[in-house]
Amino acid sequence: MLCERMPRSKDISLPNPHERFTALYTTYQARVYGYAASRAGHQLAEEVVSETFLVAWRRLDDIPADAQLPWLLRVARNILRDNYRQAARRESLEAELRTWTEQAIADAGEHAVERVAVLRALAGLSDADKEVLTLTTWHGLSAAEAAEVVGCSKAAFFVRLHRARRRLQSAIDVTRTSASPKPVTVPGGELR
Amino acid sequence: MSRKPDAMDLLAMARPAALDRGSRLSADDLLAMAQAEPPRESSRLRRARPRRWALWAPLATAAIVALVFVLVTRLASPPAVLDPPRANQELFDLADRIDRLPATGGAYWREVRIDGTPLAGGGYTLTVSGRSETWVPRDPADPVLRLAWRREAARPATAADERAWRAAGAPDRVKGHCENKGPCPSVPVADEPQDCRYTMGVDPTGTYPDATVSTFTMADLAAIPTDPDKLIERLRAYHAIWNARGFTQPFETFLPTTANLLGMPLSPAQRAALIRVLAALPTTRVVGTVTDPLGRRGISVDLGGEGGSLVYSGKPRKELPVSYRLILDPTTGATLAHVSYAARTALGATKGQVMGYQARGPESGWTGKPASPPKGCKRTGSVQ
Repeated sequence: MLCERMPRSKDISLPNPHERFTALYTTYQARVYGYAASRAGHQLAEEVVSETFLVAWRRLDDIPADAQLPWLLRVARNILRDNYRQAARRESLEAELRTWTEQAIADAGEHAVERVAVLRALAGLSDADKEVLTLTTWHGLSAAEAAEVVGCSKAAFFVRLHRARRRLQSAIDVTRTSASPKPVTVPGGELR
Repeated sequence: MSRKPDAMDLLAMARPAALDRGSRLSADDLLAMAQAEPPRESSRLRRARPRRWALWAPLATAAIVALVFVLVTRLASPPAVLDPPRANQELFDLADRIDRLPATGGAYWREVRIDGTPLAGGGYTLTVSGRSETWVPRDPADPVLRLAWRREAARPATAADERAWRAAGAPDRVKGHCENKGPCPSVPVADEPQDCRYTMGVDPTGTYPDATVSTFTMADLAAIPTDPDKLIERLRAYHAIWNARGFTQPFETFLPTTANLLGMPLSPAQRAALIRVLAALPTTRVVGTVTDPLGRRGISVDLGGEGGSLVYSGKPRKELPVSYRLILDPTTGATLAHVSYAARTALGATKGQVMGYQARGPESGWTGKPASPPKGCKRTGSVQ
């Protein structure tokens, strides 16, 4: 499970700004990347990581030592909202979800059918539902941390999560009763 | 009868492994980009101040500086000298550090060049690297030795790329389009380039092989002045030679090119003098401390200019803008590498990603005579 504890202030209280920044980047860049990829696909994720950490460098003293990851994810969320057209971001994420679904179809491993069903169900949910669901399940945030990322109270987040979870369950049920997935060949990707 | 699986458990199970890929940029790459801007003052503090104060701040600061200056000049004896940090202070500091280092010497100047370009695809990136060496004698009566490795080697660019390459079955050869060289033959995945060839022969003119600044003999290089005025005078002479060849760029535009001398056989005092000239140029900017493509710490310097662009053979109408950086050894001031970075995220490249480099191998520098014939190398008529 991804619910690892975030490093506390004693781990990152390095005096040199460059060392602090490097420690922050090394610890969290993959998490920020994962969040950005789950919100906008890989095509935009790299740039979102860069922009997020450029903001982090400029505001190094503002980052709360005990909530660094939520702070970074909130910055990434704002960057996604402010710097990219909603339609472009959604299109990129839809393409990514199709890729993940195709990969799950091609994967003959355990629970492959369930994974396909849940990814297809997720793809059909609203953007807001996708976000609250993945913050807790894919990115390992507690409800309080996730609430901080989306900018609402913990209680409000619980309500949103509960409703999103119900809609996900319904969507999974619908997906399961539809046609069974066909195996597809995933292109290996030609070396450029 | 089995219980219906929980939607959240199913979702957690379906988490794509690709989310763990992480950015291809290293902390150093990001730091180099980030260091273009200094960390700002805490925004909490900024918000606490009334905006009017911000408008008046420059005037207030000027007034305080003026007051301090008046007090200092009137009260202090002897007058205190205010010495604010200069632009590119890191380069001036570097020059001060190396100025008095002892000059070294040898019968030969060995120049080892390792270049690299990325080759991306299949979910991972490889760095295709090549190697060549030139041994230039101090005495033109001795032979010049040139070595080149004919087969390049490809290695996964990062640890994450290595994991992805292994997950793809660890292919021992890769084939595709190099980013900036057009169609490439298949390249073996190996630690080092293979198939070394060499030529060895006397060059009676004794000309140093790098003529990008001017045409030098070893004696010419040894005579480059360390006095700032005389050095500028000498650089003007090099510029005049270039203009006589048909180039029309002004002296100020030519000056950044003289940084190429930092990879040539200069003494520490000569390098220090040249670094001071470069540091004072308005177009020069220290980007920060970075790790060069061979893993060495260095000072990354932007010498100005418009950068360039990478033309993709597979995408003829698309170009990727790149920025060039010179990376200097913080202990000697000598060139470690010239690196080009993607200036924006496009065409499969990420802003700040290394798109190519020419590094000086750590063996470069003054040395004794080479083994003849060089070990593990075949003689050939020509070495490119």
